[in-house]
Amino acid sequence: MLRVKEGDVECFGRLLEKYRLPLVNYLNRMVQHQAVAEELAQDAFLRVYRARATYEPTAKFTTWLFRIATRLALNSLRDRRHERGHLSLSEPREDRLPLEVADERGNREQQLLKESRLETVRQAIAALPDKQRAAVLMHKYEEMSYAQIAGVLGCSVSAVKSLLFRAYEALRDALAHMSGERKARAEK
Amino acid sequence: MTRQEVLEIIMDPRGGPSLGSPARREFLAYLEGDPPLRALYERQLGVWESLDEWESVEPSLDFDRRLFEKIEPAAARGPWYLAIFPGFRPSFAVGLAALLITAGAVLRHHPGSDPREVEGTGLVAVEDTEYVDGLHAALDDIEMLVEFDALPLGG
Repeated sequence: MLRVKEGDVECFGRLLEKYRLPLVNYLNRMVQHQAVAEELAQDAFLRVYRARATYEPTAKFTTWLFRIATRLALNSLRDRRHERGHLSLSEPREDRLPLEVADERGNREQQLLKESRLETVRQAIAALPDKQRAAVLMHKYEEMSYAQIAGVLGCSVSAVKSLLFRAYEALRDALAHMSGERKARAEK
Repeated sequence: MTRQEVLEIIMDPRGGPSLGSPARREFLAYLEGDPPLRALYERQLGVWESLDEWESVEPSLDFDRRLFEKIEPAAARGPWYLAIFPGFRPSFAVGLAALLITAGAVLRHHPGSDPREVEGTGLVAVEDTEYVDGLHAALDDIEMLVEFDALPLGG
């Protein structure tokens, strides 16, 4: 980031290369809409580019980037809630990818099952309160430490542990039947 | 291994698999003697496996192109002073710099002329124009993050 500060566009490109995938996926899991997630990620990167002259090395870049991204995601969700009166992330998704055409019936069934399991996970994540959802996504998918998540969410490490404890408790209940199904499939 | 350490491993997505053999044996031995914790471990393993169903998706192929389309107009606008003084040229800058250095040398010995010496005013002299732009951007971000911090931890 210090090199980007000096106006090194090539260096910004490398930063983009490193963070593009995790940031877009984090935002996609937050707002559950690929196109919106990409717009938000671009907004976050644009802020990085604009702030390159003022960036100080004291704030860890990942924390700073995810802090901006999280705020953008929460703003976006809030705006969408206002637009629709009430937004449910689990309502029919506009950006759902079409199922691949499967030649064999077995493949198609597997594809449908996979899609169904994914939908269950999406809904379980969507049902979490905003900060719990953000904490889980950073912890599980971005492999961020409690301290990093605390830095992003602007709370203490113990508050993050508490958030995660409650979130995983809810997920254990919401996803319990999936474990049963997995066991049944394994026994077949 | 304490119960708290075992709990930390259970709640870590990389906890179990990342343990070395001796630690893993100790971890599993502890679970054998603590059925409630073992049940929690198995349910949490189910959560990790379920969450793994949601795989990463590659961003659109034109992601970078769209981003740089947004960046270029901002970069093309150039420094803010060109918007105020469109005819500004480097030769003006040299002259202005010489003038400021002279004025600075005169004022340096004038009591209270250094903003750091003016107490209680809260005023700060700004020498770096990019710094001002940065402050505006930072204030924008701070406003956004203050709103964010105001959200309750539960949601």
